Amino acid sequence: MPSSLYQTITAPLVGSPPILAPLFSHKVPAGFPSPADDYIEGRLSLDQHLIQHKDATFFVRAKGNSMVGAGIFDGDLLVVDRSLNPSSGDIVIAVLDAELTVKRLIRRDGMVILKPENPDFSEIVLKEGQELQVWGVVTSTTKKFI
Amino acid sequence: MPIALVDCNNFYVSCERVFNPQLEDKPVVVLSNNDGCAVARSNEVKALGVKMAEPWFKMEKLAKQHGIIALSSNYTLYGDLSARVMSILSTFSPKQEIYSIDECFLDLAGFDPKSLIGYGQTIRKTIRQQVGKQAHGGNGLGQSTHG
Repeated sequence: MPSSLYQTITAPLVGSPPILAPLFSHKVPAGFPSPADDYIEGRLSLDQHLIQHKDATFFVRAKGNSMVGAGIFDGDLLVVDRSLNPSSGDIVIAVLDAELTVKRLIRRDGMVILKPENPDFSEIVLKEGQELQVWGVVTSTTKKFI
Repeated sequence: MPIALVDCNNFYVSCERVFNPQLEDKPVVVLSNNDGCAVARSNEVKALGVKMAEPWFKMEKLAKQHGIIALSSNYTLYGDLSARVMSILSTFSPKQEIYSIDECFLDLAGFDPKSLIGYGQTIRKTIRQQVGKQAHGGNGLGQSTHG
């Protein structure tokens, strides 16, 4: 029996209690450590931070290296908002030849281009009459180090 | 009193299609627990004459002939998408009554009757964009169901 094929898309838990972590007002320097002031600005829920429209937001696991220039690496978890209208310059999940792909959407001189952020990949220029189907707009990416 | 009935077409199949564009325009059935019988059919499968609740063993031959794609049901996924659809629909009316996983009533009392068709189209477009579902709406005087 064929099984379902989507292994890369998951849905955020709707209505789960948010986990609130303390938010420090101090920016963390990547280089020289500064004397931290331990001041807590408030409490932050990652759900609220990353998700604007919970009913239209999905998590998509990125595959491949075509978007490394935009900070999207193989295995990253992308936050995708389907309620946003895609504008030129947005990173989008597009349906291309019945596959989902993540690329930067560019509209230029009446042309629609799906631009990879990696010089090893070439741009995909939509042919005339070919309709672009945008699945959703990528609003952020999350990465685990451990 | 205008009440809208919103239902989603071939709900389980369209849920599967949201995440797998390869299923678009193909004959797809979703099978019940343990892959016993059809609980959802795409329009392509309906056109082949497969009936609701038809057992898989009865359609296996037809499936081979026409390349019907059979999927095991994933109720967690359908429930999640249903909750999203219902939550979005609830923003279109002060009163909503959820009738089943893919149907609900919206009370549109006080709405300008002339605006209802356009309103229905907006609802459909919103659901289509945000959850990827094909929704259907009808206005009636009382509550009724349609398939």
